[in-house]
Amino acid sequence: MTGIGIGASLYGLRPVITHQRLDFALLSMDQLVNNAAKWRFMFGGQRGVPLTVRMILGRGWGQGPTHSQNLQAWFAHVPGLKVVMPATAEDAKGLLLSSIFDPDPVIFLEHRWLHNLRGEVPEGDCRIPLGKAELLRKGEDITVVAMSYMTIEALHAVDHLTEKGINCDLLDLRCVRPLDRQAIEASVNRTGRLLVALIPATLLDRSRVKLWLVLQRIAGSL
Amino acid sequence: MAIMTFANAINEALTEAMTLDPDVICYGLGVPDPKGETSLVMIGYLICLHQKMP
Repeated sequence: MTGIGIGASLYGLRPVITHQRLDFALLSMDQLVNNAAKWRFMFGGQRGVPLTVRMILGRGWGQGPTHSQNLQAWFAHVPGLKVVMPATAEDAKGLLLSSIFDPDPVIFLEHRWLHNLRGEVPEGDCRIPLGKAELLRKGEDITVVAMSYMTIEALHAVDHLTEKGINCDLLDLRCVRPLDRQAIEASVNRTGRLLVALIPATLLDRSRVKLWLVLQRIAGSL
Repeated sequence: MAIMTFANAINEALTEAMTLDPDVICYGLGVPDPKGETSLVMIGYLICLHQKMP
């Protein structure tokens, strides 16, 4: 499927591939990494591969170790791939439209626990730029960074903390790559504290932020 | 603005993209399934896509 998509992209189409489970797409990693992601760089930037690969992740009932992996960090470390992880219905539509019309390959990751989440969605062409985080809550005590389903969990946690007198910045990354470092750094430089839920470890190595406390990273299998 | 599920928003985006640009094509596991996709939690997000955009 992926090879067909790459070939179709090079002939001018904009294919959208659906993998019902992210795990099932791993057989195509060679084509994704060595063909789709690198094409623009191997041929002098003459053309990219406008391919969108939807992958659904997260576990459900009775699923085993090969049906429940969250591998966004892996994809995000491949130069040439964009990695999108929406958390709301509005973002799902806007970011998917932007992914489809992006000139390069995009991995679009949907957590299955979000599929029944309801929300307001604009009509028509409502593209949302890739790589722009959204500030969902504004506070001065700590920065919470989340993405995909963890954004919903973080919203509950942040609202609970507000009732206890702790005010949080809550950033929904929306894209793992490109990562909106500017938004993260601006927030952390204001709060001095960072709580991370599901984010690639690169932030820990490369961020240029002034922290009052040691970074805390929360990761879990959902 | 309309209230809809995340899954229906995906469907809307695919329909919108194919309407805007005839070069957009969709395929993969579950795309031609008239019930959407086979997983219970996902029913609805590709419903009728193949009928709207044959």
